[in-house]
Amino acid sequence: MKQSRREEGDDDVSVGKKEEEAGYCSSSSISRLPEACLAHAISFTTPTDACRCSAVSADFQAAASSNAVWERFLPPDYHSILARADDPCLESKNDLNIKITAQRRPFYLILLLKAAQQNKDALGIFLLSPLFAIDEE
Amino acid sequence: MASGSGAAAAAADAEEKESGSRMITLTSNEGKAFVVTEASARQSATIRSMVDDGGCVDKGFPLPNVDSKTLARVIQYSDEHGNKEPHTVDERAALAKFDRDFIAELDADKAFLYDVTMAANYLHIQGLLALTTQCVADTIKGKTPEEIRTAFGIEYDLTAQDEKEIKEEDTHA
Repeated sequence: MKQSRREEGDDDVSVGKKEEEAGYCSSSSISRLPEACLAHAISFTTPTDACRCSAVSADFQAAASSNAVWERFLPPDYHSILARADDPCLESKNDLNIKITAQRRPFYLILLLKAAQQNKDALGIFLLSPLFAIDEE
Repeated sequence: MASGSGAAAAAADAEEKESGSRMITLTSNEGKAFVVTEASARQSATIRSMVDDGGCVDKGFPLPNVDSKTLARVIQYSDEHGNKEPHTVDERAALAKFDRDFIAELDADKAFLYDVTMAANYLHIQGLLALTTQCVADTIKGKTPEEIRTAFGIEYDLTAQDEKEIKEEDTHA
C-alpha cells in the first residue's frame, strides 16, 4: 500500500523529491511507527490538528482518519446524542456546507462516526472535505 | 526491588507473597536476559496475561521485537511504576517528575523515542505508550501540515490522485 502510493507519487511534481527513499531508511524517521501508534499520538491532539495531519503525508493521513482518533474526540455521551439525531441529514449533500463552528463540531464528529460505521470508505471522504474548512476559518 | 528493614520489610514480604514475589526473566532479541520483579513485568498487559494464564514463568519470556537498549529503558519505566505504588502526594509528585525526566531524555533522541514507543505498543504498557505518544502529539499540536513535515522530517508523499480527490470534495461541498 505504502509502496504503491509512493510510485504513484512520481506524478506529483509540486513537492516530490528524489531522495525521498533515503528519508525512509533513517532510523529517526517517524514512518517507522506503526499506524496504530501514530493514531494514538494524533488522538492526543485536537480535531483541528488531526485534520491538518491528513494533509501531511500518506502515513499521517491513514492514521488521522482512523476511528480510534475520532472516537476520542467525541463527547462521552455521544451514543445518546446519536440516538436523537435525524438520519436524513446524513444523506443530504447540503450538510457538507455546514461551517464547523466550535459548538457544532461535536455534532459534526458524531455524523462522521456514524457515516464511518455505515460505510467505512465514507470516513475518508467526510474527513477530507468539509473539515478542512476549519483551517481556513 | 524490595529492600528494607524490620517490620516494614516483613510487611512488604507478606504483601509480595500474596501478589506473587516471583522474579521474571525477559530476554531481548540480542539474547540478553533481564531479571525483573513480577510487579514490574505486570506493567505489560502482554506479559501479565501470559503469567496469569500460567505461562512459562520459569523459562522466562523471549522478546524477539525488542533490543537490549530499548528493553533496559522500558524496564526502567516498569520498575518505577510497578515496584512502588505511590500513596502520598510527594510520592505521586516524584513519579510525575520521573515521567517528565524520562520523556525529556527520549524526546532528545527521536530514534530511541520511536523504539520505546513500539516496544510499549508491543508489550501493551499503556502508561508508557501514553507517555511517548503524548510526546509525539505535543510536537504535532498547533502546527500547519508543512510545519509538521518539517518537525518530523517527512517528505510530502500524497499522490496527485489524493489531491484531486480532496479538491473534488471541496468543490462538491
